[in-house]
Amino acid sequence: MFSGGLPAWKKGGNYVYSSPKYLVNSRKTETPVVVIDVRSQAKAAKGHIPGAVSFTTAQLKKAKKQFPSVKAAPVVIYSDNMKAAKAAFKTIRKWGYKNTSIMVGGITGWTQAGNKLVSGQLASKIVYVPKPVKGSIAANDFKAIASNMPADAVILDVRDATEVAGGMIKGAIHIPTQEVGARLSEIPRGKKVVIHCRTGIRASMAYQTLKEKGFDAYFLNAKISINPDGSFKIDS
Amino acid sequence: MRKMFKILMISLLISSGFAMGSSVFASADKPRILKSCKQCHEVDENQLRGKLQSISRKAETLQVFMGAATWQLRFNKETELDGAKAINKIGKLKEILVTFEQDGDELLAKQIVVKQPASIPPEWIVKAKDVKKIVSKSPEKGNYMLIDARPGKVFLEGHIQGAVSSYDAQFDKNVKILPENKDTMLIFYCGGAT
Repeated sequence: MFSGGLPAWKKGGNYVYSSPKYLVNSRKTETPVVVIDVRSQAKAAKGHIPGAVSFTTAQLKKAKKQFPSVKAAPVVIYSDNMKAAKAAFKTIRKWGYKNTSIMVGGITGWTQAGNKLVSGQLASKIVYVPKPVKGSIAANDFKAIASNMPADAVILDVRDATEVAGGMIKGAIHIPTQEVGARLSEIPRGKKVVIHCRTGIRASMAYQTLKEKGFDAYFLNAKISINPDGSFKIDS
Repeated sequence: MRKMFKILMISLLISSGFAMGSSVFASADKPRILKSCKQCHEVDENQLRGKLQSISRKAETLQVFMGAATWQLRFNKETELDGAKAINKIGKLKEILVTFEQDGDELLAKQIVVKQPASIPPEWIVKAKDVKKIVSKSPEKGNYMLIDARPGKVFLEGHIQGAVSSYDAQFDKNVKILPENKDTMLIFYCGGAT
């Protein structure tokens, strides 16, 4: 029994393999995956997995900055050469991307599983947008509402009294998370209720409370610091 | 031997390879136990068994992940904790058993029991470096079978080279995948005994 299991295996930086079907499934569920083609650009242009980004082994080593800021982002490497795939794995894994894997069977594994290739130039830039958490609002949308306070929306601040004393968004309603359930009458129905706390955790809790009560609720799933004058900064 | 492995795998897996699939329960009839915990556990009407999703000491609130549903409960100084030093030391996604009572419109956690990893005889255990050595040979050459006991979906996402997928919950159904040669070394792994 390998009781450490896959986490211990990954921790040791060992090679991890993913099935072509994983990529197919992730596309179905619209889960973003970074797909890296490590063959030569000429070969890749003739036929590659849709959405793949092209890097030769040498280019890859210089491409660290292009990789997602989220280290949990899944990265799938494929090639027609196991050595190249393994080298790329080592490089990317060292940067901290713990969900990096090599596609079983490489490019042939993909086609043998009945999947199509596309031809033409590959993207040379990685675009990775994490799938939003259910009920969460994008930082920019939050900013727009907080600065304009449209008539159809309210901001609900669920931090506690000491935190709020240090500054609050102008026009926001303040109810600490643990009191939300008992003070529903203070929250307008028929309006978008946009909830924030300091980190997103309590906001998600208040979100759940309001959702169960039928409110049109959203929450900011990010760190936010608010100044005494009501201005704020979101950490994304 | 196979039976022993089975028992062991179940106990080890309780805290790991959970199926994240959607539930058949309607929202009005929220499940109180996570699907993968059902293999070994039942819950009373005032209990929940699932994974700790999030916790806020400031709001004295915790959320329990239950597949398609999420439960939200309050806790306080009287909440009894078993298996962790402090409520914020339980660890995210740990399996917990919560006994609760209705408190007005809310649920109050009376007791939280944190699932502990199973104890395994040391002679049964192999380390990552041993596995690395074993998988450097093909299963045929090395006369071994590496079995990934996590749900099939996570196997697809990433596994060890040469591993065969056999989700523990379907172990009995999958017994036929085991090698005919009883001398073949069987190595099981999952999502870790955390």
